[in-house]
Amino acid sequence: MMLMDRPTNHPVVQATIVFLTGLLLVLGILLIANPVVFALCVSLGLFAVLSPAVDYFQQRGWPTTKAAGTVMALATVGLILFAALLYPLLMSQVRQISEQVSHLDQQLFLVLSNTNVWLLAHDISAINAQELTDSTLKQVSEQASSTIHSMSDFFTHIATSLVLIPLVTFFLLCDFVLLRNQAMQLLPNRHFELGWLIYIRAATQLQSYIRGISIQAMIMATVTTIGFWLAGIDYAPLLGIIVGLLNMIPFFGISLAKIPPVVAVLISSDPSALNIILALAVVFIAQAVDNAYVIPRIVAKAASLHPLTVMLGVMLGGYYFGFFGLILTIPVLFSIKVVFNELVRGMRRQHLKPLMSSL
Amino acid sequence: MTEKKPVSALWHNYFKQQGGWIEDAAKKCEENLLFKGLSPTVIRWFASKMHPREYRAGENIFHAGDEGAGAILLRTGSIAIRSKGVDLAVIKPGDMFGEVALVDGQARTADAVAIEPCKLVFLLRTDLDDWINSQPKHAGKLLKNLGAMLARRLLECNKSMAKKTSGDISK
Repeated sequence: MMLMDRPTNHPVVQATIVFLTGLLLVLGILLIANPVVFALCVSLGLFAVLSPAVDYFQQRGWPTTKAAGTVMALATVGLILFAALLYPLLMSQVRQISEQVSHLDQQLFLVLSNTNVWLLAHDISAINAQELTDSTLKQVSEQASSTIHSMSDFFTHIATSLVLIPLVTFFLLCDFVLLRNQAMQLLPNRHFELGWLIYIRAATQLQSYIRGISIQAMIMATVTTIGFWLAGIDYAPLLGIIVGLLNMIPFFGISLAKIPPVVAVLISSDPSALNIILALAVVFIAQAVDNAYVIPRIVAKAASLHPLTVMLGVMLGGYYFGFFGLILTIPVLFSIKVVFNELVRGMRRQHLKPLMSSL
Repeated sequence: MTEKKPVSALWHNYFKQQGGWIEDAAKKCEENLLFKGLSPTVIRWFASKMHPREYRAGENIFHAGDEGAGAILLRTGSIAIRSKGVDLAVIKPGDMFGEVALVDGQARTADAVAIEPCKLVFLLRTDLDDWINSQPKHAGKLLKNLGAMLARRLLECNKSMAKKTSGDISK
């Protein structure tokens, strides 16, 4: 009963104090390390993806440096091969798109005029093609320019961090466990085991979430690429990759992912209403597959956050940190949730100690 | 009294393993039932994955009710295993305790208190799981040893309970 007399003894209050202290510390570090935060985040992502391969070699008795060096070399060769094979195709498609975008207004006007003729022929009230073209173009250009701007920022960051990212990734692959263990040594004796338990649970859940959304993006990219190709829509691989990437953004990604295929149809040689419907149908089907099979099996309970939290978080993340923020908001919110819950759980157990020993 | 860490510790190369204790822990592991049948190379590698800690006299290593993250191997000093203020056992250097936590995250059943300043190493369940996945051949031996250790603990517990019960009846 004595424990209830002081409100600071309550496990939630204790967990909140510890959590806020930790959060302040992390924010302080992020503020100081601001110029390299992006490179560190990308390196951590690459580390999460490549570390199972390093473990595989280590299990066969390879020294850590040799295993990490081999994996980095294989990843670099793979990336170069991927770029060599796909880059010319993607670049030619980007060039074609940029040439054809200049005729977007004419193409859209043509589609709407044709639709108008069809509507009149079937005694349905007509639409003002010119007005609708202008308003649609305005909306599309506003949304597209902001997306392109934030995506170009994202890729500019990657380009400027090209030297730092491989170096940091290599050192993480070699020494992450050692560095983590040394950091955990800083914990006071009475919180040593609890600290490890919180870390293990949070790391396991976060790692499975990151792997889950990466696999989800790859599945979406593959499904939509095949769908666009079967529907005869131009730039299928490029559109597939864009839809896969945009799908990683919660809530807004679903809407944004529908814009590139529609634009691609409008600037193609056959900008018919049927092709637009087909393009949208591919995205809808892919998203239905995603919701029915991929999310429950791969992403699972990982993103078990309240929809309002996700929506506000993504909006704020996008506002303050652009495309980078849109993608990272959920993993960050998710980590915060896991760490806080585990802290509360650990503190509750500690809170029960005096009661247990009195039994 | 524990050794005071120098301020220069802040500037250590944290990527470099601070050795010394590894050799000692490996030696202690070689004499422990859990590592019976494993080669010295494997044991040394295993010891390098452990986590060294130092405790003052009277300091709790863990409390009853704590969720266990792993087993503990004592390097120097001595530890009392206490329940409701009664000493159940005294742990000596080279002994391992809290090994139930290697199997699952059950709550600790008693307090462990340092009788004198002691140095120990934690063997975490997560490290053991990683090792089982990476070295299944050696892991088989270790798990068999762990089973034997737990069975021995159970036998000891049964014996002491039987002794206590027969004592109560004779009274």
